[in-house]
Amino acid sequence: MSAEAISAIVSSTGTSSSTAAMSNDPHNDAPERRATPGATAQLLRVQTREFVRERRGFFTSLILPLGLSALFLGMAVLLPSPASGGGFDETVMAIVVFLTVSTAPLSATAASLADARARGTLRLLGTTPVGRARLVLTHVPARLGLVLAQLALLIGVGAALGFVPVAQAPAMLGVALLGVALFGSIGYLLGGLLPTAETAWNVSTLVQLVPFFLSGLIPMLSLLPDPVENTLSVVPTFFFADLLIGLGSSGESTHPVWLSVAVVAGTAALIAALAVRLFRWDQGEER
Amino acid sequence: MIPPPQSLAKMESQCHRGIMTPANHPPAPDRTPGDDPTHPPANATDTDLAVEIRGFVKRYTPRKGEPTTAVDRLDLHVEHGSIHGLLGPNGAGKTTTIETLVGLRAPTAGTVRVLGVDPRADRDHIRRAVAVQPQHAAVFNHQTVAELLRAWASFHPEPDDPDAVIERMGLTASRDVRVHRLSGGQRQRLLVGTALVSRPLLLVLDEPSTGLDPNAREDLWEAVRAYRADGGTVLLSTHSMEEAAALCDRISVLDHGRVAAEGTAESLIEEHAPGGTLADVFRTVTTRAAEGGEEAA
Repeated sequence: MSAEAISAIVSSTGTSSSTAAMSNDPHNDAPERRATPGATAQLLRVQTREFVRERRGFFTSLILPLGLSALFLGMAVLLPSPASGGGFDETVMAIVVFLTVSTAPLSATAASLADARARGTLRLLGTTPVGRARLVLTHVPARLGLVLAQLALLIGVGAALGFVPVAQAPAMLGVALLGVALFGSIGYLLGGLLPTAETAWNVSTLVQLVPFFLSGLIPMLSLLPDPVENTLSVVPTFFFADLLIGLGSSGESTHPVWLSVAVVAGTAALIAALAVRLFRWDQGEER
Repeated sequence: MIPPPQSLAKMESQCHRGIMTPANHPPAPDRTPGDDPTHPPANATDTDLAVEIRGFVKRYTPRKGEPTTAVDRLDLHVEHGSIHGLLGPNGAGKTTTIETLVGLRAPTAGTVRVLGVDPRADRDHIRRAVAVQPQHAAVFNHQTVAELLRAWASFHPEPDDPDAVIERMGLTASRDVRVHRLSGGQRQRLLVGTALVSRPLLLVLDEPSTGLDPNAREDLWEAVRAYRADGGTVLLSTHSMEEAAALCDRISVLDHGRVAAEGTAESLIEEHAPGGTLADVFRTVTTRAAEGGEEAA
């Protein structure tokens, strides 16, 4: 059998039609050499255990949003609300949700991926049949589970304290999930590019806090000159904050809901596509 | 007469079932005295070679500074069912060659074929058929040894038993210890274990005995020999003469990105350092290569 024929056999194992052809070849009794469905379950367990057992990242993701949320909710309870409206109680739930969806999905995601690359774990995985999609898909559930639990708790507390109408609580959870998609995709983009865990923590903290302060959730935005304020009001995180504010006790938002949803979802999809395209298994990977 | 080479698929199946023995493995091509050991025999076909590299060049161009040539027109041929050593000092191009073989790097020039395919063009096939223990790699830090090998085994359709691999690698006492608590030598053995558990057609090891004590190193060598006896092919990079002499059927001595000498340990000693050792061969050929480079300069 010529070398070309053997190469053709090897190359044909990737296509279903060729697989069918191969099955008629009396010399071919090789098993299909792909990562098994069991690999997904095993990798999911590994990624979840890594997330929970890595104490620094896990407790930061767990405690930080809850601690800050408790602080802001406490302030909202203690500070009197002006009779004319515009008090802190109208934006506190938006602040709480914004901080929660931008911690675990952003910082913990970016740092963990960057660390795995810096240590060579991703490079080793890149030599196995585990693909990028499977790696990322099994990386998501643990972080998603944590943030969903945090959101359920905080929105429940917020509804109980009257900072979000009970009827709006499910909608607020739905908008929060949009935020998880947005910040999660940014987390995977950063994690796929940045060289070390420390750099990833620093950059993602910046990415979290700058939009937070410039999203209209706190009065800082209104202190800026009008042209600057107008420019910042079209940044995707502003649309996200606007959605959250509209679901709070004031019910007022700047942009139409459909527009804000479209901008946030579209931005998340675009960044996710970039994250997939630019993901690197190791620092020196060539494309 | 050499019987027709078996199809790659059939070899793959036999290797997986552990029934590939010297009796049914494609026999080594004919060699006659006087054959140039740096070239495959005239009657060898491509299917006799697990790895075939011709004129391989790898140049790195950093953002600042001059380009560096890590590999400079390297030729390498690894026969199926053999343990082939890449011996050379630090910076000789061993790791670059290995990384190119598994598709992590693209050659600047030359052709590289692994199990008959281009590792960059057919990365999926290389990932399925080749297992590598890279020099600079780490596994998930917070898994136990058993958890990690069980997960790694699940990546492949017909893996070896993870518990058997744990025993073979001398990690039985550490099976429930998390990776970050293992010693350097234990982690190295675990890395080799992740490669072995997949039962690949080609096993590529980049300085596998780094950090191992003599007993652990012997265990590793036994595991590699057992893998070869089961029909597998091994490409092993090392700068340990003892390891090269103990394990390798053929050795390519690399220096400054080129093959300075190639052959069996005995033929290398006979040709380059009669009555000496492999270390003497190493010193002789690398000194000669350096002098050749200086003269050219």
